[in-house]
Amino acid sequence: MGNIWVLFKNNIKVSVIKKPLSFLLGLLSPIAILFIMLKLLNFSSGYIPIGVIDKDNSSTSKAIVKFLSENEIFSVVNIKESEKESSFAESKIYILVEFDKGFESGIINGKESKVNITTREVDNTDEIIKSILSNEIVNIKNLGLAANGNKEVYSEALNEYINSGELEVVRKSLSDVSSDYTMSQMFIGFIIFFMLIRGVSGVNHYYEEKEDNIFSRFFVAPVKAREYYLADFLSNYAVVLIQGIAGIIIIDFVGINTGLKSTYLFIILATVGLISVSLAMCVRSFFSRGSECGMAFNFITMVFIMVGGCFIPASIMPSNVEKISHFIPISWAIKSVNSLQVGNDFVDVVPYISIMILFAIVFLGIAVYKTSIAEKKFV
Amino acid sequence: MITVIKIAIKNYIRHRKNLMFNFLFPIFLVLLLGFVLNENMKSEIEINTELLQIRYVNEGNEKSKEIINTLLTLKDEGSIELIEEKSIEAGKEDVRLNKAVIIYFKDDEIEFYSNSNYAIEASTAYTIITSIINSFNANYEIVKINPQGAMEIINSQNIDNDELFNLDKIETNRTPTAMGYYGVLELGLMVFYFVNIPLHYIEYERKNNIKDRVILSGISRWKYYIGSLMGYTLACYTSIILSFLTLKYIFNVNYGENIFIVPIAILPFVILINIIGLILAIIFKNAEKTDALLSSLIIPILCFLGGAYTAILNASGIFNFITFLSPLRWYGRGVLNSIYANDYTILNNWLILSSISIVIGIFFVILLANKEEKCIG
Repeated sequence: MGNIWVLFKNNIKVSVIKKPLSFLLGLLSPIAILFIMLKLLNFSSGYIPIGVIDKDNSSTSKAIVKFLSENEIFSVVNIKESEKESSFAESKIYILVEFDKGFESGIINGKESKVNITTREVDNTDEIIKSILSNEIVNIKNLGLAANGNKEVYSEALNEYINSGELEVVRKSLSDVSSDYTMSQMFIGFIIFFMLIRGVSGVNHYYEEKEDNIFSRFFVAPVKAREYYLADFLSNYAVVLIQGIAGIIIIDFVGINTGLKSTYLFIILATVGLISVSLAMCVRSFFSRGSECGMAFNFITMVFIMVGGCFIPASIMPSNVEKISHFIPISWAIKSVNSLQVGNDFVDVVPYISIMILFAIVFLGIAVYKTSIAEKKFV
Repeated sequence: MITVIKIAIKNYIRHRKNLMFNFLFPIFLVLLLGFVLNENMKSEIEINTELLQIRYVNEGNEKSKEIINTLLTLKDEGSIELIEEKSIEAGKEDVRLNKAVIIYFKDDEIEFYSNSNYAIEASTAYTIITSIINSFNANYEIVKINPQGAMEIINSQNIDNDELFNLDKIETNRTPTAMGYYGVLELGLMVFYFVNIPLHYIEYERKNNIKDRVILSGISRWKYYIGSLMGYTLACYTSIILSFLTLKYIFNVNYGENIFIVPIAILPFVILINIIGLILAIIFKNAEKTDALLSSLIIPILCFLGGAYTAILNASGIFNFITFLSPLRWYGRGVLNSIYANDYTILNNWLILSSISIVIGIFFVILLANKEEKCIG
């Protein structure tokens, strides 16, 4: 036990105390940078990006754009006429909605007044946009007919219709707090991403120690292999956990509403930490060089993050991929977060957390097996 | 110098795991992301065709009844499945467990609860209920401003979509599919990881005195570094082009009709990244630590800014500028616009900008090599 403690302290000293600035920089900068990006790149919005070119710039065209923005599956971006083609080419938009000059006056005077819609042949977004917009445009056209060419009457009726309708539907979340957790889900996804990456940077010292012969010197002292690896696991886990805690503190500090208690989030992230460290040790056991290990780990991280639903919700993935995601440990963390966000009790996510722990045990088991074979060769 | 180039290429080839990894990583990533985002490899959107289940609790007034009657009509038409719940709490529990949404008609208010795990279903249901309510509100306004003609206007609502929209479709070859988008971007992502190649091998040669032996043989330092740069660049470029050709010809990823766009756009990117790796290897003596910083912080951020994980939607002002700090953004936008919009402006800008950066980079490498020579001499 004494040896483990000494090795643990040494690892922490090497990775944290000797380089406090780089440790803090590594810890806080991803969170700070990603927070800024999430805040300003508008990732909180929907899955179908719509570009809008509003040449009419009237109350009517603005009302229709507002209506689209309020639908959570859309993300509305204003684009310039010159950016039309490049926006489609860069996948920046899937749908383009254009209002010609005179759109509103056409509605008021009962003349033909159409909305120009451009969609991609590769998908069926035209059906979605038509079904969502048609009713709204019919309503607005009817207001125009009722106003009988009187602009003032129309404007007043439109204003009433948009801002203070007789009936209004209010979106509420199941846990009776705020309604939109998309941003917080994405943010938690990023914390998980960086916790995973932290895991592999924590196991890198092993390669350095091997190269600088420190590794063999450890074993000249009365240190058993399992003590070395246990201390390695614990010290790396401590660092990964600090990364997770920093993420939670930032979430609280900035005031992002995740819809779940910080303690619950901590438990989920602590389990993710177990996966991160055990996976890193598992990958390390297969590679003799740090660079190879880093690359393989990055690759696995990418698969985990994308299929696990950190950046893209599993619900919009094809059903086959959704099935595969059951075998991705991170997807259980995301499921736990989602489950708590919709108001389920913590007891309901205990099975998910247990699955994650099982994954960690399996990774660790493989690491131990592979390492023990390698150590025999080493001896 | 030819010898140094040969050494560099041999270094690259010697480590089979790295070699296979560099070749297979982008292929696997493109296929994975293309598949994750669409199993038909066509688009990123999949619309659920299952019958939508809406639950409701009626504790509302007369107006609520009208809304519910419209919902019942939709049910009779077979458009939705409508179930009445006795209490809101029981309804919420159902929503937590199922994909359903629940609408709570409470006196004058209408509350909408949905399970955030099923965003598409929730959004469809929300659209249905808002359409009904908006029609109700519009009719209310119509009656208010034109009581005489109101009924006629309201009852003549069967307007065809052709009267509302001018529809246009962008051809399949003018917009990237998920596979097409990531086919371009993930090759760029892989290029970032090439930074490790000169970083690790230069250190390897330094630690094992290979570099000293090469220099003792009469090759100047700058020639050693430039030769290494050429060797590693050639090896990395060959690897990425092989991945590109495999994706194009075996997995039919669309890279446009002009086969040279990607190879031309990616070449300066590979050179630039190798120069950065080389400069870092010369300045910092610990490759593992530099690698850790790059892999765990800088590369993910540059990839994110470049759009490798998800397309950048509406960055503006200073944040749009920040995204252009990532060479991946230049390369990605340049290639996508050339392939799908026939617009070579960004690609040309990227080629000019990267060429200037390469010249500055090489100048810097020579400067560092000479400085090293002076220090040691």
